[in-house]
Amino acid sequence: MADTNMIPRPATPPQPGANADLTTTWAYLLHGVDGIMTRLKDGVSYTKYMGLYTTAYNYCTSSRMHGGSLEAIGGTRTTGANLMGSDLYNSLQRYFRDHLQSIRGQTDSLHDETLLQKYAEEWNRYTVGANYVNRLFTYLNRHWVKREKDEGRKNVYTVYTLALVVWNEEMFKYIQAKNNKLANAILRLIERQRNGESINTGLIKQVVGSFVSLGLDEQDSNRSNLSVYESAFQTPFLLATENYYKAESEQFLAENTVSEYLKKAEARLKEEEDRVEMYLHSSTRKGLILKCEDVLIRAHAQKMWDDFQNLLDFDKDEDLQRMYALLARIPEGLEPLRKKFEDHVRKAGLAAVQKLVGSGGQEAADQVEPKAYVDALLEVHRRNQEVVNRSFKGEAGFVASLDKACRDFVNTNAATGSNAAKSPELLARHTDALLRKSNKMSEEADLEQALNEVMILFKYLEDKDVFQTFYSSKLSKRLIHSVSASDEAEASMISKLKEACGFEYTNKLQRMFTDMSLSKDLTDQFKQKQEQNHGEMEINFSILVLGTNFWPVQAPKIDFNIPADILSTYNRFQGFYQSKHSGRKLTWHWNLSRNELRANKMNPKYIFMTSSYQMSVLLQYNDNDSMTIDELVQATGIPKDQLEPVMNVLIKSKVLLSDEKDTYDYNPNYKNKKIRINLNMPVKTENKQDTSEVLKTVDDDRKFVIQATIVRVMKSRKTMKAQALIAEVTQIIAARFTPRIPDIKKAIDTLLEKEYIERADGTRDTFNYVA
Amino acid sequence: MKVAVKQWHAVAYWKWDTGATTEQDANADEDAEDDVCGICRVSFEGCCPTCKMPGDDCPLIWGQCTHVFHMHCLLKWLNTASSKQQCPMDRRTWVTAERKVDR
Ligand SMILES: [Zn+2]
Ligand SMILES: [Zn+2]
Ligand SMILES: [Zn+2]
Repeated sequence: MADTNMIPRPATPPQPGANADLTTTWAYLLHGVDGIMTRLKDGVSYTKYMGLYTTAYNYCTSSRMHGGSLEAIGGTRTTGANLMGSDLYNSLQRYFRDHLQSIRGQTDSLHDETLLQKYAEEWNRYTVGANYVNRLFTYLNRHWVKREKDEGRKNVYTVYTLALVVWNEEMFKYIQAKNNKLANAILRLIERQRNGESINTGLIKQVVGSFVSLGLDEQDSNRSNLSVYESAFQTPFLLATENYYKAESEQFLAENTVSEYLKKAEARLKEEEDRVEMYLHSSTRKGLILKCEDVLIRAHAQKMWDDFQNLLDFDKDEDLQRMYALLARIPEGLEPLRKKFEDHVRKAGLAAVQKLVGSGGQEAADQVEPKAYVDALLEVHRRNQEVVNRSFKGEAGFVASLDKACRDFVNTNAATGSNAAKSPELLARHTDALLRKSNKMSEEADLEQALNEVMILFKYLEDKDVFQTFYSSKLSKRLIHSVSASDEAEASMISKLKEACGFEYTNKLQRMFTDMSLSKDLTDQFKQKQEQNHGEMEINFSILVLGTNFWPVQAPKIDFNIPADILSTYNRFQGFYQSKHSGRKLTWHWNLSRNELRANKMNPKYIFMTSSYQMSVLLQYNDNDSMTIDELVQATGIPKDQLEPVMNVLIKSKVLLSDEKDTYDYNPNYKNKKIRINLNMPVKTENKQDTSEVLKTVDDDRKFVIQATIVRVMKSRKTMKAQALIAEVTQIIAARFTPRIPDIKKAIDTLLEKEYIERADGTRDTFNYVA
Repeated sequence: MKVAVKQWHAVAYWKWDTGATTEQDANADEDAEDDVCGICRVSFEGCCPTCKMPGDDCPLIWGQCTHVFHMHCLLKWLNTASSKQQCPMDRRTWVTAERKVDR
C-alpha cells in the first residue's frame, strides 16, 4: 500500500464475545466490511472471514440469551430477533452510504472516457466487495430480511441488493444529476464510433451493464428490471440515433444517388445490429432497429419508389435486391413497388407484341407468326420471372404482380386487338407446330421444354375453351394425317393440360387416342381375316374409325363414286365391321382418306402419294387420256367446286396438263427426280376456314355449357332470383371462359321455353326449377 | 396412265343405326334433338352418364314405339316407381323391339 494519501488503517478490534452489544459488535464488523470493500486486494484470511461471519451470526441470534425464559416472552420472541437484525441492517446501509459519499467527489472533474473509466473501476470494486459482504451476512438475509419481506415491508433488501440500491442513490444519481453526465459520455463515445473512430467498446459494455443491474422491480426486489437502463440510457440513445441518422441520410442523399444511398443504409442497419450484439442490452435491438428503419428507410421511401423504375429499366439487379430488402422491412414499403413492377411488365409485354406487329395495322396483326408471337410473350415472362426470383426473392406479392400483368398482355395486345380468341388460337397453332413431325426438334428434351413453356402462357389464357377447341381440331388433324411427332409428346401435353384444367378438359382429347388404338387393332384383325380368306391383299389397307362426338371433323355430304379398284376392299371391310359391331353404321370421310398409287407404265415406276379424291381422278386416266371437268365430276361424284382445287394441285405438279380451259390431259412425258412424290398437299385456304369453324364450335359449346350450368344450379337451388343465378353461373364458368351476361339471359329464355325452368308466380325475375 | 392403288388409309366414323335417315340428320344442326337420348340428352354416340366409354359397352335399346335410348338410361328409368313401365317419351307401355342388324 504505497499510497501516502491513504488514511492509516485503524487497528483491528478484538473479536467480540457471543453476547456482545451492538457497539462492540459493529465496531468489529465495520472494520472487516470496510476491509473487504476497500482493500480486498490485500486479501482476507479464512480465520478473519469466519470470525466476521460468526460475529454477525451471534448477534442476530443473541436475542434468545437476552430474552429470559422462552415462556415469559412467548409471542414476542421474534421481536427481539427483529431488533437485532434491524440494528445490523441499518448499520450496513449507513456504511454503504458513507462509503460512497466519501469517494464520489472524485468523479467531479472527470468527463467522457475518463469518467466512464473511473465509474467502471469503482463499480467493479464495489460490486465484487458487496458480493463478499452479502455472503458474510447470509444469516441476516435468510432470516431477518426474508421475514421482513414476507411481512410485506417495502425497501428491505438482501445485502447485495441493498448495496446496489445505495449505489443507485448515492453514486449513479449523483453523477447523472449533472446533466446526465454518464449517459452523455456513452452517447458521445458511440457517436465517435459512428463517425468511424475506434473506441473502447468494452468500457461501454461495463457501464451499460451497471445500468442494467441497478434496475429493481418495485413489487419484488428479488427481480431486476430495465427501468434504470431504459430511462437513463436507452431513451436518450434512441433519440440521439434518430437525430444522427436523420442528419446523415438527408445530407448523403443530397450529395449521392439513391443507389449509393441503398448501400449506405444497408451498411448502417447492419452496424446497428452489431452494436446491440457488441455492447448493448439485447432488449434494445427491437426499438433501435425500428427507429433506424424509420429514419433510414421510411423517411426516404418516396425517393426509393421514385427511383425503382430507373433500376428496372437498366437491369440494376444488385440495387433492386437492396431496395427490395430495405423496403421489405417497413410494412408499406413494397406495395408501390409491386404496382410499378406490374405496370412495367405489362408495358414490356405490350411493347414486345407491338414490335412484332410493327405498324402494319390489322393486316399485320392477322399475319403474326404463332412461334414469333409465343416467343415474344415468353421472353417477357422469362425475363421478369427472373427479376422476381433474383431481385425480389420470389416474394408472393411480386409473383401476383407478374401474373396479373402477364394475364393482361397475353390476352389483349396489338396482335389480338379486341379479339379474345386470338391468343388462344395462336398458342394452339404454335403447340400444333411443336407436336408435328416437322417440328425440327432434334432432342426430345427440347420438345418437352417447349411444351412446358406453352403451359406457362396457357395458365394466363382467359378463354381456355377456345384453346381447347383449336387444340382438339389440330390434334385430330395430326392424328388423321399421321403427322404427329410422337405418342409420348402427345401424351405428355395432354397430361399437362389435364393437370392444369382437370379431367373434363382433356376427356375428348383422350378419347381420340382411344379411337386411334382401337382402329389399329381393328385394322390388324381385318388384315388377318383377309389373309386367311383371300390370301395376301393387293391393297395395303388400314382404317381409322372415329367416334363422331370426339372428333371435330365433318364428312362432306357428297355421293362419292367408290372406284372399282378399291370397291371389293371397301365391301369386305363393311361386312367385317358389321359382324363385329352390330347396330352401328359407318360413314366414310373420303376427303380425309389417302392412298399410294404406283404408275406401272412410267419409267421409273413413280409412287404418288395422294388424297382419295386425287386417286379417284387419276384412276380415270387409266382408260382416258383426256377428260373435261364435267366428265370428271360425273365419273368421281365429287362436286365441281370441291374438284377444282384437286385438279389445280395435279396440274401444278404436272401429272396432268391443261392446255384448254376445263380440259385435263394425261402427261405422257412426266418426269421427276424423286420416285415417291407427295401430291397430297393441304389446301392454302384451310387456316381461315378452320378459324371460323372453330369459333363457331366454341360458340355452340358455350351456349351448351351455360344452359347446362343453369340447369345444374337450378336443380340444386330449386328457386332463385335472376341476379343471383347469373352471378353463380358466371362464377362456375369463369375457369373455362368469361360468359357474357346477355348470353346467360338468352340461355335462361331458352330454358324457360323448353320448360326446364319457369317464372315463379307473379314475378318477373324469380325462377323455379321444373322437375 | 395405268396407275394401280397400292395403299389405302381410310377414315370413317361410326354412329348407331337408329333407323333415321342419316343424310337428313346431318343437315339438321339446330334440331339435332333426334340424335340424343331422350332421358339423359347426351347423343347416342356419346355414352350414358354412368358410363365412361361409348360403344358396345353402352349400347342403345329400341322400343316398339320406335323410341331409342341408351340402354342403361332406359333400364334405370324403368326401375323407378314413377315410370309405370312406360316409355318416357309417349307413355305407352315399354316393349323392347327386336333389332335387326342387317337391313
Ligand atoms: Zn341416355
Ligand atoms: Zn351406359
Ligand atoms: Zn316411345
